[in-house]
Amino acid sequence: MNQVDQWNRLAAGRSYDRREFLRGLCGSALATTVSSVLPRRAWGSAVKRRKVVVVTFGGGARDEETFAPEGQQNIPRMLQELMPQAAFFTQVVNRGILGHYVATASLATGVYERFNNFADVSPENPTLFEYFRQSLKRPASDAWVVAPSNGFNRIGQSSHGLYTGAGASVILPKRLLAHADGSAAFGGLEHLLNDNYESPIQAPVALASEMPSEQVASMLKLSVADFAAHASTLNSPDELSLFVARRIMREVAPCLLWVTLHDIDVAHTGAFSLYLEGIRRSDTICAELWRTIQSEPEYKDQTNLLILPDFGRDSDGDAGGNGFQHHRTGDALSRTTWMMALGPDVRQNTVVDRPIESIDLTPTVAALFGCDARMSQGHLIRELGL
Amino acid sequence: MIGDAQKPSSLATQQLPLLRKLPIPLAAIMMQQIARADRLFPVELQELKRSLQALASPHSPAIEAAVRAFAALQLSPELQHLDWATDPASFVEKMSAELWSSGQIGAFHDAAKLLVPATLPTQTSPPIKPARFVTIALDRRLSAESSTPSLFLKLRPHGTFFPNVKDEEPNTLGEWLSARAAAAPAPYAHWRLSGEADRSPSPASVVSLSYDGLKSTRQQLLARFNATRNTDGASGPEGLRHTLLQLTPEQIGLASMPDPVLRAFAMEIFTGGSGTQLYATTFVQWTVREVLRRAQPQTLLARFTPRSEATSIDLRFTYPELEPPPDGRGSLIDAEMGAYLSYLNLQRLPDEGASFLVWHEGYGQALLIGNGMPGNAQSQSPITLKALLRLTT
Ligand SMILES: [Zn+2]
Repeated sequence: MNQVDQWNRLAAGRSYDRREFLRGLCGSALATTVSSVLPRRAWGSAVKRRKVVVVTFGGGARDEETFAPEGQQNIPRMLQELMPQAAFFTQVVNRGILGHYVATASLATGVYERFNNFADVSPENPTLFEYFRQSLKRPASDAWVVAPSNGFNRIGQSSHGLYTGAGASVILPKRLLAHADGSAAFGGLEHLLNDNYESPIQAPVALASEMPSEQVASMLKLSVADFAAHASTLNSPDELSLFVARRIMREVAPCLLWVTLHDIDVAHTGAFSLYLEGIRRSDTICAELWRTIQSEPEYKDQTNLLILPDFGRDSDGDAGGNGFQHHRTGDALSRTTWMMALGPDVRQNTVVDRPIESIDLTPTVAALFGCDARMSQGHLIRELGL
Repeated sequence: MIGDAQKPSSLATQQLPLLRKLPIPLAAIMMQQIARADRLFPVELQELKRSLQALASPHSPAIEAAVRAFAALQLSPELQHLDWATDPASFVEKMSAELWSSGQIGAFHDAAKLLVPATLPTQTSPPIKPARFVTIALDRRLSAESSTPSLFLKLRPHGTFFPNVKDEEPNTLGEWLSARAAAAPAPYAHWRLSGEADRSPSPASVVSLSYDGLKSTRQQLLARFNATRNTDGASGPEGLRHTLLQLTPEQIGLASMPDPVLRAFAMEIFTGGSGTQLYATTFVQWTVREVLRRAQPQTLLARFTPRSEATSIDLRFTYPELEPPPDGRGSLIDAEMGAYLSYLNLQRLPDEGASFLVWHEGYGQALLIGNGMPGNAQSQSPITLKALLRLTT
């Protein structure tokens, strides 16, 4: 059996498990092909007000610890609060490099980027943010990225010559709490600076294009000192990212907001309990973000929320890996994950088994805004009303 | 023939003509093993020997298929011109990055799997006596927050659960290990691993490693991580990997360990394992995996003790001597997964008839896998730990 067949078989098996489980839990209507029964989305004024929030788990999560039966206890709020309103895609396959920065960049460009995951480089292909801003002539304040600081400082803007200066505003919340060398600028907040689980040390990064802390703080209408004071009440870097994301939604209300969570990647230390804590925290954060969307007048009823891990992690069965700890084998399960979609363009309470790819995200979100991610290599996810 | 005590350099010279005929990716990974020949356990050296012999006279369809699969990998011209023979480790590092970025990593892993049969003995060798036995003990300080937990759920389909196990003697497991080592003495055949230093000394025929016993080594390594990251012009993860490839056991305080194979093994637990320098539970799980995979011992006794609480990695690097307070609750979850992964690693060894026991000394719950132990079964009757150790052998 060749490798692709094997992936497909394993991935399909996993998706079947997940679908059976979800049907039992939520009574979801099984909509293997729902595009034919969905209304075509009304273009025009609705598109102008449309907003999209994307949440990626930039720490790779496995089915076993999330949507598979044995993982359900770790994601109670996604299952109980979000799933009944969501379309759930059981097979999202990532065929690229399984490193978090390069994989998230691939999600954002719709092309499997091939650069060294640890290099301080921009994505080569135009990003979703650039398609969005340039086609719709939107200001930088209308597309934001909240990301961990391990190399993600360049995620908002590609090196593609046609889109110079059209990237997203990227905020790396931890940088607001750290000196330029990465050390803590405030005592007692070191636990909020963890982000380099893939390698014990990070590549040095050039921060020339980064917005100064004071400027970020002023956009968020918060002094750096107040920010630090609030941060002292938080338990993890991802809770800090949630705080910042909410602040951006309240003060700036961008149409496109991308949040990459990273606590889950503590799995690389081999502590299974800490990995589970990361998943539970991500579960809470997703539920809280949806609540925020539904409580902010600028977002309520006009925002699609898309949640997906960047990829999975190694399966217990592959001798080349060490179970949940890493994503080194490139085996089928480490490449197969899921996506949950909520919002006005989504048919609620449906399960979609058709395999999609991670790189389908960008052309789809672009299309939700009525623009064309013309260099992306992914396909439209038509089940989102397209 | 390849002698067991051969120096890597002469082995490399001897095998180079053969390797030059192989596809480069295969030649490079074989050369990488040859370069480590003086760090290999006897079983590994035998495997290497068998693989080289099989490759020298490829008559089995499996070997031919493996060679074809390696030959089908496309390497860039730059990589093809690099010298894989002199520095195979760096070459393999670069090749791995290229295989990922060109989408061929899966094909590479598949090709490597095709090679595995070549490492196995051709005739059926006599079963090892006594049969392999792995025992995992969970320290009583590994405890759930409130009520008594129901342990070992992931392992239950594979064996029989004993909820009422008493240990009536002070050193049951230590004596069990010593007796097995005395009955079948062999190099690297009997191991004791733990988060903490042994409470009772092990006989010389038992290899013993602990997270606490290697404190100075892991702290010295953390200090090196810190120094590397604070070096001007440091090149991040690649620079660190390069530094680690050059590292010798003596540079991180392992000079006092007399056995060079063990010295290198101990170093590689910390340089090749992620989190082994930070958490005792990770150290034990990863070392069990590596001992089973590499030394293929007859007896392994591993003890999970509490790991330190989650602490900023940055702090651990900045203050390598920091040993944060224990987290018993998290450690229990980690150790249960550690026991499950240990069982999977035992399953990967070629022989049948092995036994696996996991026991929590505080809750008195145990699970036994092996001869005569049905899966998904439970035995309510009280039993002693000593009796349990005899049930499958
Ligand atoms: Zn990771």
